[in-house]
Amino acid sequence: MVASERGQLLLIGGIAVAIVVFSTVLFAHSLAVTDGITTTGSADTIERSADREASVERDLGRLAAETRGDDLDGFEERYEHALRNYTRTHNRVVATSGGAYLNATLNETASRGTEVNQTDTSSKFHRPNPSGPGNRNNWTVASNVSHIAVFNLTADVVGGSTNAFTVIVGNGSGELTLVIEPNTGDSGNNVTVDGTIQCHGNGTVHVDFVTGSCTVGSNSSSFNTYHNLTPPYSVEIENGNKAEGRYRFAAVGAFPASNYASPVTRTNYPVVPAVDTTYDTPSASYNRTVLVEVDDG
Amino acid sequence: MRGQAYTLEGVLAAIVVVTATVYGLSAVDTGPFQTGAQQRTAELETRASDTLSLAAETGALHNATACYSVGTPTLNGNQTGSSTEFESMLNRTFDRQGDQYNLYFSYWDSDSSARQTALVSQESAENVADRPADAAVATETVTLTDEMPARIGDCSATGPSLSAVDGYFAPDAEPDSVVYNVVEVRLVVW
Repeated sequence: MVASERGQLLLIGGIAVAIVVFSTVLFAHSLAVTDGITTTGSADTIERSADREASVERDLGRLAAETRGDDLDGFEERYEHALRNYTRTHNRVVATSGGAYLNATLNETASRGTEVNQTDTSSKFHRPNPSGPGNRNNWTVASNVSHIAVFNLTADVVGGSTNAFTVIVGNGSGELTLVIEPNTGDSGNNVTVDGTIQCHGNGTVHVDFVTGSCTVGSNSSSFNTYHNLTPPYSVEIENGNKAEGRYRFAAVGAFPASNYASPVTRTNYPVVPAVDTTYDTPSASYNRTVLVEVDDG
Repeated sequence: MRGQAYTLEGVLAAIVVVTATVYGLSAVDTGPFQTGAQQRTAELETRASDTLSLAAETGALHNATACYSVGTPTLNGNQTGSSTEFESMLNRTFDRQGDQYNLYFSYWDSDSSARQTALVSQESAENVADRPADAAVATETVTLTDEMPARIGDCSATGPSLSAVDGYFAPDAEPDSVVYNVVEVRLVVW
């Protein structure tokens, strides 16, 4: 091989290397700028999948709100039933036209939330665990609460016009203070919210903190509840020995273990249900676990 | 020595050519080739999909789906005089640009093979048959529950619950459940 031929060979080699470099640059460049030839279909698939997921998540939230309603009992079963009916109808309508198959089941393990309730017998609103720390009459129901699904109480015995039974929902910068106390002028009871009497009458007191409503005997009223406070909240009871009754509280937050003992124990409750979803389409097949935001307010 | 010079010359020439080519290509779109019709279809598809997604987010699509009226339907796809929010969105997005569309509401009915109702953007029955093959298609689903109120008037006022309304286009597909029906809204634009 003479020198000139060797040079030509190296020249061709150089050009070949240049072509490889050029192709790499061009490919990377087109990917970044134009979504590239190979990613066009993928981008469409991803966009369609995102739309479909958003639509399904809206439906899951709506179904959860409707099946929960005002009744906590049996929510899991009702929601499971609704999910089965929803996916069946969804697949009948959508799968026949677009080939999209959906399966959705409640994942109780991944769901978030805790429930405490004193609903079986009427007793004082003091800390359920008598051997817990501090004064038993002033205690924290839950702290760092991000979402409250249910919070209602019924007081059938109300006593003590001083140091009255008080429930405080606060967030450090503001609070809702609700006091249940006997009226000083007659034999009735008052529900006072942030210093203003909202309900007055004779008989049992009912308060729903989530909807902001109270009833004393046959008199009902509504009040501005904690929704204008930004979570996380702390929920506290003061002077729990000054009233007797029942309560139910379900929320996402920290429920101090030392405050609870039988018969008022902490149980898991899907305040924020987790739903395992499976999407099967001709172009994509995948699973998601969705935390469903339920509008309880 | 002479061969090395040729090599160096060749490499330099290649660098110049490659640099010029890359620089030139950065000024043009290197995406896949599309005809004008394909580009228009893709653009319509994006608009149709975005319109449905936006309507679903704002609740306008739900109101349109749950809309109920006696006699002349409020939601009729008419180009002028549309009073519903969803129809206004369609008019602004498509009618005013000279685009035609059909709207199909598909639902489940175990007792009938007619599981779809259609609306057209113009008052011409043949419009349904006339749409071209390269029309853009976008879909969105709306789930209806028993307790949802039917929408009356301009499709924003609340009426009785869907399960209590006679003559609503979709039947209760799951009578023993809170789920009333699932409606797939298919928007075909050209």
